[in-house]
Amino acid sequence: MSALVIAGREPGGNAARAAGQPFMAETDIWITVPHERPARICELQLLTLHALCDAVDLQLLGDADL
Amino acid sequence: MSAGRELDGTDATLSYDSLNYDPRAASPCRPHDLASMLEPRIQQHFFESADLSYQAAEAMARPIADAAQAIVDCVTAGGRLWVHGRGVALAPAQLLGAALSGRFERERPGLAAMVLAVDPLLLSQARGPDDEAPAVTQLRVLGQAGDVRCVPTTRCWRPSWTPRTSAR
Repeated sequence: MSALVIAGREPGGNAARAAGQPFMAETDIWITVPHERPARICELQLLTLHALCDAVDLQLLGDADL
Repeated sequence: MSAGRELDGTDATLSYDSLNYDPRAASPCRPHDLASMLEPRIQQHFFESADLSYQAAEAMARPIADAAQAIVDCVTAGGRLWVHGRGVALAPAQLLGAALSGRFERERPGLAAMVLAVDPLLLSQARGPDDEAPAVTQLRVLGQAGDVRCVPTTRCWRPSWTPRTSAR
């Protein structure tokens, strides 16, 4: 089962990821919000989800005038 | 004083005058001073958020496109999407679950997506081995190879969020 993670950036978080976290598999997708502040991460997360849902709709239904 | 008089709207004891309370006098700052002090700080949130959105657009577009592809590949192959988030990430998790299984902006057949462990009973009782989080327990039981788990979080990934399972 692959994982799709939408996470924020924590001090040391990206460094740990660059070092190769054993609990993340090759097929996992990591969407990192490049900020430490939780409020900003929440905002970008919401934006990310809207973009993601729109991208899924586009893939399944094709382009259409909204 | 009778109870009937206290509840009577015309009773003078309920007025601001009788309480000796003036909201403007009681405030340490006059309203317009307070607003002029707060406005730049409030605006700063908008500027900072806009800056971050603008800067992140390029870096985040590729992983989001990959994620959309993974979701489409999963559901078209008969897999299911398990969405879970804890704390403040519960709201985006539920939003994503609703948008995938219901609709986002356009009508389409629902996708096989489900939000895990939001029931307080489950959260309090369904503890797996080694104090595993309820959502992780559900995932271990329900998840199959080919499924995708979607995890919005405001923190960094934790090893404990990965179910000890051979489904991977």
